[in-house]
Amino acid sequence: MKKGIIPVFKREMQRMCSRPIYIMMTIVIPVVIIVFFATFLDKGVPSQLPIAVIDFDNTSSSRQIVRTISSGQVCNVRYKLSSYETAKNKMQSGDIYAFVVIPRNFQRDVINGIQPEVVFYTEYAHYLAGSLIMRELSTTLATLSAGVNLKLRLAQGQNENMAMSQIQPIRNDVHIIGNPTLDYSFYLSAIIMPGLIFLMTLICTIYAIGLELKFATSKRWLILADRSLLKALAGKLLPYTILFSFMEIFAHIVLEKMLGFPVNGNPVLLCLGSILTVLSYQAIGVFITGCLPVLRDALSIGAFYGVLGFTIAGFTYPNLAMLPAVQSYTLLYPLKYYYSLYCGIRINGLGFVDTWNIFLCLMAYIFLPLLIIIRLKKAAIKLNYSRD
Amino acid sequence: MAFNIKENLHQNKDAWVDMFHVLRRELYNIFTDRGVLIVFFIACLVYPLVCGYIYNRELLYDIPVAVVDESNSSLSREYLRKIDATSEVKIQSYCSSMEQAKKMQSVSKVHGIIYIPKDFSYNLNRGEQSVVGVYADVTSFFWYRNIMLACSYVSQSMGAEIQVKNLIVSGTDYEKAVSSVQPFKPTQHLLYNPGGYPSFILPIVLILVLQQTLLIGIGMLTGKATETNRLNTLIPDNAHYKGVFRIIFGRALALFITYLPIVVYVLIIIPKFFNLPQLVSSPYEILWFITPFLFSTILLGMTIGVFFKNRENSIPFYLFMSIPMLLLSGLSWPREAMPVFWEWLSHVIPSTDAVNGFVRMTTMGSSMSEISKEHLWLWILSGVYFITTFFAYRWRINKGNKEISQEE
Repeated sequence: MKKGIIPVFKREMQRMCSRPIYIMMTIVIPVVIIVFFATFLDKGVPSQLPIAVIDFDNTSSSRQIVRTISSGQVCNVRYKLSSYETAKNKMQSGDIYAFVVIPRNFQRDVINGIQPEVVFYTEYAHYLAGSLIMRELSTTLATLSAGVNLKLRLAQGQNENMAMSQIQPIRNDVHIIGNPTLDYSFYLSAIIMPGLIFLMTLICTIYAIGLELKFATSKRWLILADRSLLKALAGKLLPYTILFSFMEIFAHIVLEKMLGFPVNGNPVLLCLGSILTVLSYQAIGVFITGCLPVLRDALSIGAFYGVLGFTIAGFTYPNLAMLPAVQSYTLLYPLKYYYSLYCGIRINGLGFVDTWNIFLCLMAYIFLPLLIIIRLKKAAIKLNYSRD
Repeated sequence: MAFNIKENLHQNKDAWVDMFHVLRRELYNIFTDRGVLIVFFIACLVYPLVCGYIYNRELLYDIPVAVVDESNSSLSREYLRKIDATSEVKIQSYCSSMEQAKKMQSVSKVHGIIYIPKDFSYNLNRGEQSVVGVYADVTSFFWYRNIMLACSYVSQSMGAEIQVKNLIVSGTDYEKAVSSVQPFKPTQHLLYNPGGYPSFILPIVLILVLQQTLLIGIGMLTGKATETNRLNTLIPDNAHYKGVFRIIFGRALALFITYLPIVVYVLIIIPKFFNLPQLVSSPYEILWFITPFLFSTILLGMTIGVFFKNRENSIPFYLFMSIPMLLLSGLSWPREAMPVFWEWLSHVIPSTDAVNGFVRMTTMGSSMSEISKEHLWLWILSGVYFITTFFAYRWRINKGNKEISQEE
């Protein structure tokens, strides 16, 4: 019988096809992840978020305010209410995200130069919706206020150009580097979608090795690999390296072609980075299994470690806002390096010259299994751990 | 007739005895399985602590930005001083050209660039509009948010000062100048959750931790039963395991009893420990609200559980769903922006309505009547998943019986 990496590879392919859970982990779940993110964030920018207005003034000026707010993209004035209590009640029942209060005698006070206050209340329990509405309402109201200012100046006989620059002496010209349309889906899916596929890589690696130990087939596996654990691991994990790398590249194609994400830099470099990240996650999977050669324990630890990566890697919430001690834990996650690599290449268009150090860090993870190789080999031969 | 009634009573008594037998046995199964104990107790104990610790610092301040000041005048320096003074950003470096600044941004030394053109103070002094270029890094929503907040605040306030000054110079008195610059004042109030992102995300994570550990643990328990029982059936070969209702009630109650103390820890003690908003009037309200959430999750887990042939399969199956479920809850991505299909599907998952109710209850202080929609829906889900569990179990038991009779 032939021995070495290729026979192990072939054996693994057979094992894969014989258990539906493998097809689930390598094909069904990654495809579900890709389809979810491609369709869920389809709209890109949230719009028509329901808010309420309490108009105590009810004059042509106050109605003008309400009309202007509802004509914007973000807010939809769904309710016109008559008291603060009902508005608060609507907010606590989850019907609205914000409400605007226009005070009594608003129009009269503006004309008399008494500077009335238009107050808007936004809730921050829905963080993104709250932020969007806050920004929209404050600019809309500031513009309206300036509009009244403009009208007064025009009435005084100033020319329009002059008046316009007078009412807004400093204007901000905002650009977002790499995301000109401010598509919010970018922030959510650019890293989470590939990240979830990396998570499945980790789980699948632990599963594939752990199952050998659980069903005591690890001896046969080692013998087929010429009694070399490195060869055994290489042959066993290669099918998954190929499958998951393919899924990562597929995910990028979907992100860029369907959702229109930035495509700067060299795509080959990014593919290389993705493959390296897949390999690092596999290495971590081997490491965890080596430390805990019991399938269920290794899976639990792997799940715990993997899910935490989404919090700690800094794309959902910046590392800058975390404690210094926590910031150093990011070292544990290849996802963090993948994130900087993605930003560097795809957004800022960096080449290999500026990113080689990230590649080097990712490569360092691949040597992690060397630390536990003896322990894992012993476990594979002696099967001296609980297997129930 | 009398005999019949007696028979009936006897049967009823049997049902209770059987149910309690199942309950006891299931409790024994839970507390003797190391894997399940790790998922139920250790994960629920540690994960909320770790997450709370990661998000410990709460507010995000002083984002590093680069500035390119081509005007280099007293007005531009004043503008930049004001930018630096905001809590949102800090000026990390002064660059001589846009190229230099962009280089710094591309290697993430700064997360935004503020560009002041040559004619900045010239224009302002002539009463014309000046434009400040603001460039934000796309790599995180928070860079954009902080830089925008700082720049629009400074531009507005400095613009207003300049206008007032100009008006006073042209002979208007101060009060009139102020009110004509801003005929009415837009004022914003943030209601609820002053803590920002961390205290927004943690309550969602807490509910999801409960749901995911329950689903994974139940998958492990049923997978293990299938592995160890004779002929791989779901139900052990035991005289008390007859009647699908008795089995379902016994199992569900055992899981419910196990999870009550965990719920108290995760949803009542942890939020206190991390000082999350606690506007709910009594912790009993939380427990009453979360009861149907527990039942629907348990029954959903039991329905799906019949398909697990190995105890380990539940982790790969459920784990990746955690983050899509977080997005489906509608708190981070507004419900109004979801495609209809996903919106509809989101309500099939117990965590969606549980998260919405729980967050409104604790962060916004909503009363039980204000979250009655979510509460009712969770009870309906419990009912629906009870029915699905019934059919799933009957199917598995019949299948098992067939296999046994074939064997015999």
